[in-house]
Amino acid sequence: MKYLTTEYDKKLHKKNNFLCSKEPLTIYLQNYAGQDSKRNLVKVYVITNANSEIIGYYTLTASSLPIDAIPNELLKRPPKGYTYPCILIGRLAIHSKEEGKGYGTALLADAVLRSIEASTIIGTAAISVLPIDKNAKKFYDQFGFVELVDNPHMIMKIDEKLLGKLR
Amino acid sequence: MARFDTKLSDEHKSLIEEAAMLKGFKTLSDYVVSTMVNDAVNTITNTRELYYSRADRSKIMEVLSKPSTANDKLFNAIDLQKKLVDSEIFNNGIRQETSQEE
Repeated sequence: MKYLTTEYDKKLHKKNNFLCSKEPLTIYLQNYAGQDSKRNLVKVYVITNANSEIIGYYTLTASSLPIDAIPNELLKRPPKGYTYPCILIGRLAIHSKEEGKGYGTALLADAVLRSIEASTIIGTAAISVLPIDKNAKKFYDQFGFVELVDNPHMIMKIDEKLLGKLR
Repeated sequence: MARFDTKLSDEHKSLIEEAAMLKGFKTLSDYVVSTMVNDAVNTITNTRELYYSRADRSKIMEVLSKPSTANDKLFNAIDLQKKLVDSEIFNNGIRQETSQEE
C-alpha cells in the first residue's frame, strides 16, 4: 500500500509555519505532536511542501469502544473487562493557506486506508474520529461516519467493502 | 435563579475569602461559582470523550451490526488519494512543486 503521507520526524519536517484555522490543531502540532509520538501515544502523519514545511497532518491512535455495545452475533461470549478495538483518527488538519485543494479529503482517505491496513494485522472493528466542531462533524458525516448520541466521537465499521479498497 | 447552601469550616471559609479577594472577586459566592463553573466545564469536556452513555452504546451496537456506512463519497476520496499518490504530486509526503505553482 502506498501512502500520501509520511511519519512526522522533527528533524526532517518543519512545523513552525504551520497555521490551521482551528487554533487547537495548530497548538497540537506546535507543542504536543513531537512528545506524544516520541512516547508512542500517537503516530503523526504529515504532508509537506517542497521546503519540508508541514501543510497537513493527521494522528492515529489505538482506541476502543465499550464491549457491551457489541451485537451478540459478532461476539457470542463477551470476555469480561475487554473493550472493542478501533483506530482513532484523533486530529486532522490542513494549513489555512492550503484549504480548498481537496487535501483534507485526501488526508482522511489516507488515514482510513492506514487504519484498514492496520486492521489486517490487528483485530480492529471500527474507525473513530473526533470532530473538533460542527463543521468537522459535517465533514466526517458526508463520508459516512456516524454520530453518537452523547459521546463526541463518530464511528465507521470496517468490513469487506472497505477492505476491498486496499491494493 | 437557584440557591446553593453549604457548610464549611471557619478555616476553609477564611482561606477561600482571602483567595477571592486576591483574585478580585467582590463576594465569596462570585468566586466559588466562577471557579466551580470553570471546573465543571473542564471536567465534562474531558470526561465526555471517554464516557459512552446507554444511548451511545446502543448506537454503537446498531452501527456494528449493519454493513459499513462507508459511502461512495469516501470511495471517491480513496480514489483521489490514489490519484495523488500515483501522479507523484506527493512523493513520500513531500509535494513536488514543479508542476504546481500558486
